[in-house]
Amino acid sequence: MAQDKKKPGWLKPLAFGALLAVLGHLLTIGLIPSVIMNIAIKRIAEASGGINRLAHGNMVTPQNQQIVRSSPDLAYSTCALDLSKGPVRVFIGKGADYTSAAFYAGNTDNVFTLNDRKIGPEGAQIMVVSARSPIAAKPGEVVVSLPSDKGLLLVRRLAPSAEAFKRVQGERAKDFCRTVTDGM
Amino acid sequence: MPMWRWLICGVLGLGLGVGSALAVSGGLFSDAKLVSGRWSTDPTVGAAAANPWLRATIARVGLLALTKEETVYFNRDVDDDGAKLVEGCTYALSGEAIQTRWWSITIYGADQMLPVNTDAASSIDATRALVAPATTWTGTLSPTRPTTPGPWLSSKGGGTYSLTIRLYNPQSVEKSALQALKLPSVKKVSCTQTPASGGAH
Repeated sequence: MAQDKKKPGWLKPLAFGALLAVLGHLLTIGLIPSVIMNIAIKRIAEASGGINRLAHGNMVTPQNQQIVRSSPDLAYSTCALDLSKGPVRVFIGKGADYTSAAFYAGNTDNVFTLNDRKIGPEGAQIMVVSARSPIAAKPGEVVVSLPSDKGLLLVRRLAPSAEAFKRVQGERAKDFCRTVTDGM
Repeated sequence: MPMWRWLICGVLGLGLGVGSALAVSGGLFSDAKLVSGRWSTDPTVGAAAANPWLRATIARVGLLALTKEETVYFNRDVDDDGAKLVEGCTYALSGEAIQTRWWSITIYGADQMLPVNTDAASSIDATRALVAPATTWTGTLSPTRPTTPGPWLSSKGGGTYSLTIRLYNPQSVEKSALQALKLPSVKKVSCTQTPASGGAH
């Protein structure tokens, strides 16, 4: 009889604990990408002097690395995207070696990547729009639709030596990332 | 009914849920689906359809990864005999041409960052390792600059570390093709200290 009284005393609290364990697990798993991405977007925006601005990184070294798993063989350029006030135009110049422009949504998904094999000698004109409010692009423009207003653009250019990095600095000098209302 | 039972179960449950989420996303129970020698990769990395657990893991240990069509990332934290890679040991690296547009091997510490040192040897890439007309290469992975020729990967400050090889624009991303790749070997040559006393940063 004593045991019969004890069981109901623990059963509901244990079930409550199990429910919180499942909810806590799912909530944490669901929040991790957006929390980390928001931190990355904030840091990149600060480094670039604001949102929708392209910033060219230096050669990655152990002393200046800013993000996990950076590659010292690549020259990175970044742009923190915010489409809440309209679309963003991006220009990526043709490189002599491997070049890619990868667009990430606010949940870390890589929604689109354009590499140099698909970039003509005149470079790539890209219009980044929100899935909520797409607008017509100019002829010849590649349209990238992000499922969220916030995201990131990460441009990678192969630069495994100081000489290659110097060449890349010239190649990316005309690259940009700007809101359309900036007059583009 | 005493409230302390609800409190204990609630706190323990929440702690278990959050703790398990952090452990899983930190790669603690990582079970990469594709293995090539001692190298392993998860081919869904970078894919938009990645499940929430993999997406959380990528956010913590491989943020801003590319899709497999663009880059395949193979990782390893053990030598060819299965022992953990540690700063106190010297390893011989050897490899051959890989059917990919370009590749590079980079060393990362337990915190997923480049080991902090001033050796300027955090990576080896195809352009430096395979100078034409060579089709094979040998190099060294060690905490001090080797006297032997060939590319050097510095493990100084790495503690217990891992290696990542990036394969850009691989010729094929089919499972069988990736498994058949002959990725570089990492053979232990000597150790100056026990693995447990490997440096940290």
